[in-house]
Amino acid sequence: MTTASVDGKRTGTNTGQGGRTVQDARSDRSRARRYRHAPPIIAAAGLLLLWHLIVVGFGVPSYIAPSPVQVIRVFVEQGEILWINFWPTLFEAVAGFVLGNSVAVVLAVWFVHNRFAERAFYPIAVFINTIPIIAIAPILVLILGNGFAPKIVIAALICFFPTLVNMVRGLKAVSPQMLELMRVLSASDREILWKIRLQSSLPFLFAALKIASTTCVIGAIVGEWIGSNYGLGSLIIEATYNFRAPLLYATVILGAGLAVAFFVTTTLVERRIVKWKPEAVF
Amino acid sequence: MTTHTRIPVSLPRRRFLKFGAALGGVAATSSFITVEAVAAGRSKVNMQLGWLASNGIMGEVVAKRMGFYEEEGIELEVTPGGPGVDGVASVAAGRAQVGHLSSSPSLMLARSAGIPIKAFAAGYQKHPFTYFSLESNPIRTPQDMVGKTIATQPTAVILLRALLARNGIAEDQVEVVKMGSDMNQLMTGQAAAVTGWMTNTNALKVLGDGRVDMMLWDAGIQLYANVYYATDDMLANHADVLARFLTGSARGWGEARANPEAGVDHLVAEYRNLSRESELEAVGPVLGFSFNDVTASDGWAAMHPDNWQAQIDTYAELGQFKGKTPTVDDVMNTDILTATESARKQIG
Repeated sequence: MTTASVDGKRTGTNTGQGGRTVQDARSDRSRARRYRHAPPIIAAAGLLLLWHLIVVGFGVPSYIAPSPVQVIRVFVEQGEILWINFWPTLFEAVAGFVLGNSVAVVLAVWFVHNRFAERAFYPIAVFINTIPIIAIAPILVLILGNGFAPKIVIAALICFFPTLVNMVRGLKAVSPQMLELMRVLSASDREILWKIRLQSSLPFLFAALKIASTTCVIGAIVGEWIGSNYGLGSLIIEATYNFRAPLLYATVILGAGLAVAFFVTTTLVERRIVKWKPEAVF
Repeated sequence: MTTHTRIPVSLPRRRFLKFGAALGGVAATSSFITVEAVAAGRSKVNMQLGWLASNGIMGEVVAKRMGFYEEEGIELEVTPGGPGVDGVASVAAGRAQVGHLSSSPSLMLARSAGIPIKAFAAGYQKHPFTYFSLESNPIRTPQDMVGKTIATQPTAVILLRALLARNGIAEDQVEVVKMGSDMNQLMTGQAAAVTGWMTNTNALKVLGDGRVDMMLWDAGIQLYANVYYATDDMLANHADVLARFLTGSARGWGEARANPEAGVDHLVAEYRNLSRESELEAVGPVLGFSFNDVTASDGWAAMHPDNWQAQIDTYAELGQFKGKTPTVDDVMNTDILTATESARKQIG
């Protein structure tokens, strides 16, 4: 985009004053940067306005769909309720994210070094991934009780599978020549893992972590549906069954905001760590 | 499952032996049930709800916050259920010592499926399940349902079938559709009636003033709601714990009845997601279902074998028991009610 505008300027103001053209191009670029966020903001604002007009125009009752104004009012007037329910979910999501991904990474390393383990346990991992969470949730509650533990395990289960698959793939995505070179240098498996495999797996890992960063929030919320007093999930149930639609929408928006925040954090961490392949992984 | 038991050093020897014998007895019957002793003479009771924490446990919340359980030597913990979690498994497995079920049929069906649980008290004397219709197309008696579409929750379809059978209406004369938690089918005219609990005041606000109520109870299907239950083993070996629990609950409900607004304050202080405004509206109906002429004579939480027998008969006639049809003694036990009679009658 920037190059195009520079070209445009050059043909349009080709008066021989090269300095001005560069300056113009620079200001163009900074303007482009300044308005970079304009399209999504305008689109979001437009949709909110449309939503409001539809609700008001057609007289939709608030228990079916509240207007954005009512939802914003919930954030202001019932902010405290939202906050006390926000923290448990944040904690469960983060703990589930850490637990699920750690287990997945450790298993992936094991699978890559032990073909027998991979053949034995990979199908089981696939099987576990296909079990509907709602079906195992009550069992988890029976085993782990009703505190944070079952919610964290559910969030971890949801994070686990994409990371496992990607990490196995990433650890194996090493060029044969590179492996051959390491063998010639008589590198041990451990050295190959630390110096070659982990490096090559990082873009894959972060692709998986980005998926996990949003699904862990969903996991925590689903976990809270199976019996908890606080948490965004329990607030969703409370609001649904008591027809508090504006509160329901506000809770959903807060949950989505949490997921987006996790996603952005993961992306920022990736940018700091995976410097050698900045664009290829997006 | 926790078997964690802390025995205070100062516990007298006799008591210790008794305690050991109790533990041995529990082990001998290969029981899963453990009542954790938190301190000398204090027992920990985990109460598993069949639904979210709501005004249905207002008395328990009041008793907990006002120290009534503490005075009875009970340390109460409340574990909420939710959609898909009715808590029966939790109680049967011994994770919770006391269960609280929304409606009595679940308990009969669980018993028929071989789960060893029994009701020992009934929180609501009259089930608040109601068919809501609008003044423009009212359903005041079961006969008004003929030729109309009724929307009800999947788990409540059986109640509608029971109601039709009781009133001599053929099932094909009424169209039954499923509904979720919303009442939109009534508001949009897709159904002539929707169902819900009369105590859910927030949901009823949606329906406005032109609402017509027909209670399941008044239509001839008389179920108990907010049933307290425990395993056979718990009832046999830890009846004293259950009795102390029920005494605490009775005092809590008595206090809530004497001072409803303070009761609501306790409830919303404990469960901050609840809205004080709607709970203040709900507290009247909640107390209305908890106290009536039955409780006036027999005390709070009373229940009668005849009523249970009628429920079993209704469900048996409709072929609902996949296992063997339970007897009254299978599904209920009045020992705890008898043991707590004086405390309960004070507040009936």
